[in-house]
Amino acid sequence: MSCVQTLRNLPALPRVILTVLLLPALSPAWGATQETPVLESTSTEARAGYYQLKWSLEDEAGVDRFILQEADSSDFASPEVFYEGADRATVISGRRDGTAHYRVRAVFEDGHRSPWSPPLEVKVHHHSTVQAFGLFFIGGIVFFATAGMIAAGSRAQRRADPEG
Amino acid sequence: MSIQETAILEPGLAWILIALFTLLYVGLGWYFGRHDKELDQFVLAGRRVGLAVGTATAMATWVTSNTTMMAPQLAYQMGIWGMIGYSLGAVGLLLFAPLAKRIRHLMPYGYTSGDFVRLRYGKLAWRIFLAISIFYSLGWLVSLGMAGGVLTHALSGIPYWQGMTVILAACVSYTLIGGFRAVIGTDFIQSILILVGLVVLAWLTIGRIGFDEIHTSLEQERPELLSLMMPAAIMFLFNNLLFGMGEIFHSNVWWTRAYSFREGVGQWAYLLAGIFWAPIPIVAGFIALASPALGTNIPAADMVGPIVASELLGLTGAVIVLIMVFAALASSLDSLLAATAMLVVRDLYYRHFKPHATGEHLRTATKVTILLLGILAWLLCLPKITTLAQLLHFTGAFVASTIWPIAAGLYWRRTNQWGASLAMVLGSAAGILAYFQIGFYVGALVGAAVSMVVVLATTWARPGDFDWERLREPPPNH
Repeated sequence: MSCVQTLRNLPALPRVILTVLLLPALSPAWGATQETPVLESTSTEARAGYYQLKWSLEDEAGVDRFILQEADSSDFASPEVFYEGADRATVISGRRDGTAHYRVRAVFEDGHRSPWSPPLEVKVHHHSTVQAFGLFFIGGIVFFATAGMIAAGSRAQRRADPEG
Repeated sequence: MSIQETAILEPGLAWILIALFTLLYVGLGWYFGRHDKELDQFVLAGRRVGLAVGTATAMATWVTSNTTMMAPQLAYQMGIWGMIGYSLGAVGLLLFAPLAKRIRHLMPYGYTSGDFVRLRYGKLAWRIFLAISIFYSLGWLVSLGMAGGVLTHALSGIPYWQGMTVILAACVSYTLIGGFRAVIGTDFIQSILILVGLVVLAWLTIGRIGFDEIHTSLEQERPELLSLMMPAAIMFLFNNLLFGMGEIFHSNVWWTRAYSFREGVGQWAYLLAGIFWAPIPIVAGFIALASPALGTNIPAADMVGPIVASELLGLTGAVIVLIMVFAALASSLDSLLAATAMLVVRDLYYRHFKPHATGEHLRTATKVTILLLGILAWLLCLPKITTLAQLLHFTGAFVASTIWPIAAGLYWRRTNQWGASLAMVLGSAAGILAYFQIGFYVGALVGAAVSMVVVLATTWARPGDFDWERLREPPPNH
């Protein structure tokens, strides 16, 4: 039985007290020290298949590199190293619909490693093709109408003033 | 905090290159503009620019940081369609060719795009147009300044604000010294540098990495970049085309050139510039697609071009990219500074506050405005609040809403002032709404579509009868 289910089974007052006391422990930041990197994404739902991940440490003295992991599931059962190096950001693009999970840690010059950052979930959910082709069609009409108007206007100008 | 730790160029070498090319451009600016003492010579090069220089200045101005840095960014974000969509920006130049001929014919004494809107549609539409045009010019200026900082930082690790400051200062200096003739003269040299740089880069890239390897990496790691059905990229295609048209049709950068070219030159200069420009974003964008094959980390999308070139080609590549993009930046920054200063001085200062100003006074005011625009751009560049593509495309909704008021105003007597004003306001509002609701890749498209519908509906419902002779406003007595 999970903690949440246990809480639900308690009477009202103890449930409220325990919830307040346990709230920090349920938060992803629980247990984090100053060494825990912060990981952010420019969007948690990427509608165009690209997004930028940025990470940082409050005190970066002695940091040698960062390791960014990507996984299909939030438990990071089979993670892959997406990036390892000194940069503090990366841009991911060209992804198909799906959900990816990320976490990052710092490796210091003396070899010790920071804890993993709280995991970050990014969902790629492309716009619908109906919307895309609808706007494509409208764009085509505007373009061809403009080009047609200019072509007709230029022809009329040549007819009216063959010298000009 | 820096997000890029892997730079190829030594900062010292980067500074030397920047200093050398700054000296070259300032020297050329002084040389080209040394005889221009009259206002018409300073702001329009005496209205006698020929075909070769005309074509080079149109092409070099359109090859900006947007082309050399945003084309790779969009290829990296939107794939094949991003690259092709960017090259459709050439359509704006091609379609402006007949407009340039018409402008020169209808307004032989014109100075700015604002002159046309004021005479054609009256004061309300003129002021709406000025707000849009000055906002766009600032957006473009800031994107160019930002590109200078991003470029030097990506290649050499020089802090963003230092690179941005020096490149902005260099361009302000030679535009101040030499005026419009310096702008188009340096554009000619810069267009040669850009073209040679791109050809060398493409040659070296194809020699070092094969198409098969690039394709396989993309297919495995970033499959949507190869997909012709990527929804955002499909929307982006016509959006970018219409954005480019809006930029060129309304901006004083292109109108001053139309006024400054000798009679009969404008049409051919814009046509040739469009044809020469079209392949450039394809070459620049292709470099970005090599990134997955190289396993290069890209910390920010607008840094992908310089990073991949220097990663792939080492020191040589980094040096070529720095020289080429500096030339591209300078060729656009100077044009934009000169044209925006002219718009501010003639349409705001002269028409609103100092209608009796002398030519000498306006020449000084133009120089002061160039300096103030440089300072304002610098202040706005400092915080680096967004990426280049997002910043520039934000202005897309506004400029695309001017396409129909400008084009219909040049060819149709019946288009009226209320229709033009309403088209710009409603088009901009709808475009901005789409920008925030859907994404930056639809703002211009929606803005242009709404503006077109408004112009057509109002022209049909309340047709005017404009007299073209009213555009032949005699030149002011200065």
